Amino acid sequence: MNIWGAFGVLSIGVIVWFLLIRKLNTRSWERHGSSVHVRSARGDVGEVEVPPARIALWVFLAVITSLFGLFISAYFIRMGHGHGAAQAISDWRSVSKPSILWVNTAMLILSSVTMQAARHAVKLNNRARVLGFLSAGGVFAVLFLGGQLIAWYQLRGAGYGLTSGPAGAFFYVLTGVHGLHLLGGLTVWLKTMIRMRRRAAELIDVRLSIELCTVYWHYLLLVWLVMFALLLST
Amino acid sequence: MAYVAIADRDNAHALHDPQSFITKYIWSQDHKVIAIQYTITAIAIGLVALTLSVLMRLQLGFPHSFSLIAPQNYYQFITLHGMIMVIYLLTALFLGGFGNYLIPLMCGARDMVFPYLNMVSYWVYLLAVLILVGGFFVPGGATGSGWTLYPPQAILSGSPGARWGIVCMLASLATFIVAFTMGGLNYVTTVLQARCRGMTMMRMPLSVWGIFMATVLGLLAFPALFVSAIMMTLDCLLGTSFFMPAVSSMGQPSGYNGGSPLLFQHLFWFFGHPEVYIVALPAFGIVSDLLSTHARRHIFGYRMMVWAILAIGCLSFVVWAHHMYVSGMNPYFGFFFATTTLIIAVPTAIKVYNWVLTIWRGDIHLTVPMLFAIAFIFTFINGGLTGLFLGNVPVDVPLSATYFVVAHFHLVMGVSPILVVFGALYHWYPKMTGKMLNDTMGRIHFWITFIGTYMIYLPMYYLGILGLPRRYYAWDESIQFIPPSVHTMNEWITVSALFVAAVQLVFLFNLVWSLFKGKPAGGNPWRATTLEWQTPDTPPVHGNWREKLPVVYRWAYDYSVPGAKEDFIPQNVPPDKLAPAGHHS
Repeated sequence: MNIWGAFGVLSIGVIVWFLLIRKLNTRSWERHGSSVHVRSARGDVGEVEVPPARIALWVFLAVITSLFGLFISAYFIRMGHGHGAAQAISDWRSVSKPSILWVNTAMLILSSVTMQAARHAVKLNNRARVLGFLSAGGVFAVLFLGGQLIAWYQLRGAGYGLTSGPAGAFFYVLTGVHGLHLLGGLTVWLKTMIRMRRRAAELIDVRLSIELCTVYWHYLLLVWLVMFALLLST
Repeated sequence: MAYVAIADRDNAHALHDPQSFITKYIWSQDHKVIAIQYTITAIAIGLVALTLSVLMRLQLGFPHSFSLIAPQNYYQFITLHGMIMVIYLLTALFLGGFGNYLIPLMCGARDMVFPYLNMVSYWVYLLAVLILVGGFFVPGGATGSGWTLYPPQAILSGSPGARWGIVCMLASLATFIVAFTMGGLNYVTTVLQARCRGMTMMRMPLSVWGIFMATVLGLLAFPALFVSAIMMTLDCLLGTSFFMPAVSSMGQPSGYNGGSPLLFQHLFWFFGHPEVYIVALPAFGIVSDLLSTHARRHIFGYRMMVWAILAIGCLSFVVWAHHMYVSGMNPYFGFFFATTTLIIAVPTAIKVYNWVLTIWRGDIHLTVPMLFAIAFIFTFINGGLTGLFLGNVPVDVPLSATYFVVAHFHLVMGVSPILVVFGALYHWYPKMTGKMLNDTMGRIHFWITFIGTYMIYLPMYYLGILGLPRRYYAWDESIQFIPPSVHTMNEWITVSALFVAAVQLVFLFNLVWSLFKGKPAGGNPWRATTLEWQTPDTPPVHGNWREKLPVVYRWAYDYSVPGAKEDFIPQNVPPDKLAPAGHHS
């Protein structure tokens, strides 16, 4: 059953691609001329509707969906390993979840909300608010990461080290991989902050970066919520 | 102002051309230079893999004659040969090499959409190759666990390189995946976003379709390898038990407890099977273009070919456990995977029929690329049909882990894609360098490679049906069921392999010799329709298209159109101006 979960999560990625690819029934050998092109009606060659970076981000989100989906299915398979087999008994022992994780979750939600507010402030063309919300979003994310580190120490202090058992090991790996992805997001956030502080950079220059950061933040929040629910329930 | 991607910029927006040698050829952001860097690196590491295979064959053909090949070396050679050929040669060459070169040129773009990321992708790939090679020099040597790296044996002290070799391998794989993801984001986004005016998805040459879908597969499948690499590294270095069961090693308890080796197999093959198609789909696409161009005939069933590529891509995610029939799985599970495995044969067979029907009654020019393309069809059918044997559980169980499997996967995903690589290099070398490859050397290279591979692999089917187990260092006289003829046949295979390996040197010599002494190629030596042959300069300069991007008016396969003056109409010829415009240079 867990295998089906893995397959399900990953085939969704493929199906999304499949749906993105339209017009597969064009009779390309019959129609001549350039007018069939979606972009050609928009005037100059080279003007595109969607910035490539946005497409690339969504493709990247598909990649990390695959990554986290596989981690989670590995989690289930490892958890079920030994169950049902006559000779073996599962060595899976749940670990106590540090209560600071709830605070961390709140931090990450706040981070996502403030990033969204920054994105909204770009629309209002309010530079001061963009800078404020953007900084707050980053600070909350850093607080989240710090909180995760504290959770690691608390867990180790409670006797659940990396080698204590599969549940503990998975806890470190899942939170670690998630944290690294957030760290990657923070470098882009830092670059955006530097660009905003430099000279009189206009909002339009960082509009796309802020938008993509926000989407990425929401996505990592979603991943964290799924993982947190998973960790709490097992 | 609308956003203008770099790849879409007209000359007014174009980046300044790089001036110094270093920015032009080393830290280059030009997709063509990066493609050539990828190609050279892949061929170089591929030569290492070729050497390893020669050493293995020497041991198998003439056991106990070479004291320098100890059993642990033999297993290291097996492992590195497999991993290099599948990932560092074929994947890197098809996607990093041909993908980089062909996507922007065939789509009519100036470059990839993220040239800087593209450059970083190559250098990270090079780093991965260096870490891999570094594995030979760490204490204990490279890992000898077989290319599938199955735990528990991969990190138990009985295997060669169980301490540091395996860590180098896993680190190298993880690095490669990072490089591939950076490149892959580029290829996908470029295909989706940077096609020139008139180039609809359904007008793209099948090469681009194949590379595009293979990249999508890679982006979704490589994370499985990444996950298993991370967890195995932790098992190996920090003593977790994700994959490691409670085992004692050499009489000592290993300290591991309760891990699941089968979990690794699932993760590995969830990557491993799509990987077969990551290698095969670009080969399918490229060979379609070679056949069409050199048979002067439009591709038969273009729409069906695209659908088949997509169907194969989707199905390739639901067949992975057919690599695990003997792992003790639930029979219903095996039944499901046998069914999906046979279903995937349907779109694949459609493609084969369409290739044959493309050249049927075509004006076939037996050029060197065409010879390789036709050889691909033969070899792919040979290797593919034996896949039907192995795809069925009851037939697979006795054949599993015999030389039948070795012959099958070498023909279907080793030799077949390599034949396409050769055909493609002969085909596009004139565009890359402006010189033709030498034809005589090419024909010598082709015939010895083609006939030689059959002399190697057809006997292996026979050995496999006899039950000769694979992965053995030597088969002693004491193994009763192995007749003496097996040893003679192994000598025969080894001698054939030496010839095939030697003739690759002719090819390498040809690559270098033709660069200086080759016949000038002109802009469009094969009289082909696709955009890369219509560039104003050969080899194309930085930015590919000088002032104006091309505009596409037709599909990529207008060969031998009735009533047309010439037997090809390039994609960028407007309907009202049907005089072929392929002679820019």
